[in-house]
Amino acid sequence: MKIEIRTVINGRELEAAVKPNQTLLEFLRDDLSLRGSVEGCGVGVCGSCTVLVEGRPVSSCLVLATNIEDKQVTTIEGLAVGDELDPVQQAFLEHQAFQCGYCTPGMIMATKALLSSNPRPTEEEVRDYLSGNICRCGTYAEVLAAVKSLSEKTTTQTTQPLASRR
Amino acid sequence: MGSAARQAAHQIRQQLLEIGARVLEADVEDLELVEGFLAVKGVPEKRRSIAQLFQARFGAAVGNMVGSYDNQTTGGLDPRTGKGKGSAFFFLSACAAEVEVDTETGKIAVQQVVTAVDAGKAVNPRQCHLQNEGSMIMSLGSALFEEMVFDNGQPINSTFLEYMPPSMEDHPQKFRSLLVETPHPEGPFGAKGVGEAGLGPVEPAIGNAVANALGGIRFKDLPLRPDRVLAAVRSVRGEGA
Repeated sequence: MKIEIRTVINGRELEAAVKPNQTLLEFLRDDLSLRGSVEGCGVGVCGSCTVLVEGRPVSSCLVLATNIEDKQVTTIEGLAVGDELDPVQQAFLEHQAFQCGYCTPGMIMATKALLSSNPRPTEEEVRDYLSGNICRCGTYAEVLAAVKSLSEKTTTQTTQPLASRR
Repeated sequence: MGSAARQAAHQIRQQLLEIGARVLEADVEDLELVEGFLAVKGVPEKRRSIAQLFQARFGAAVGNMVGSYDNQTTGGLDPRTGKGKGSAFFFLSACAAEVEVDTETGKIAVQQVVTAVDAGKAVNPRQCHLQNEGSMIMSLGSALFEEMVFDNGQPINSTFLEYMPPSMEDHPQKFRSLLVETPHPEGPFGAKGVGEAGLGPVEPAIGNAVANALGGIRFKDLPLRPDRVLAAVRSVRGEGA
């Protein structure tokens, strides 16, 4: 049995038939070949599969594909505009805020969500917000530095609503 | 492995020079590799790009060139005495930690950590520091949180819901990574591995800092879970656990 859904992924409207028990992560990776979001724990605590639904961060391993009916989803693939990286991606690169890179897509999406709700977070707020994203390489200090560099920049650069960036 | 890779790269360089010697009709000794080109020394216009050399050798600008090298390190243990040089590479690292222990909850907060690792030669210092940081946070995790719990042989905390690796909130407020460079005679350019080299001393440093904070209470089991800390503090104070 399949269920028809209409949704908007990274600004592109599409219709798809999904299984009732299919997770959003499986839908993105297997059906749409958007393989930037990755499964770490599969139980919603590591943050590697974080995507934005209507601008809010969700663990796509816990959300069903049918839940995104008529909703806007942004994945890591939807951030860069052409060859121009998103400021968050650029900051992670500049601060070398990763080693193996497995947690990075989720880390960046969570940062995106943090900065859109709180453009100038304190260090404590960043630590609290990103504590749901596990980095086994332990490159936390660099992620913190990258996020700090963004919160110090002018807010217009990082807080445009995602929908208007398409 | 680094030494083997280096030697293999040297072999490939030699193969390129030999192809160039045929193409440019010159002796290998008279050739030099400059900025991606192979040229005759003193005659910079007589030169070929690496793609052109591949073209000459394989008939196309792509092909496989294989360099190989077996790297055997010296030493080994004497089978009769069991003595000798057990490993070509010994890893030296040091760590200092500052902690705060909440004696009401048993919770430990690591405030500051400094780790130092002998990298031999830091080929990519930035990456060495990141490895050092990773070692620190991984070892901090096993000192404080990470524990595999079994019930009749069955692991009962096999997901991240129950097994807690450190998060950004557990990263010490202050962290410094130091690299010491003592060239290693058997490593490429004097380098040796730094991955996980910093792991060793972090747990003892945290354990010592906790003992220091608690007036000498020593723990014989890791991780230093709040319940273990609290029970030890209470038993020293003469309170029931």
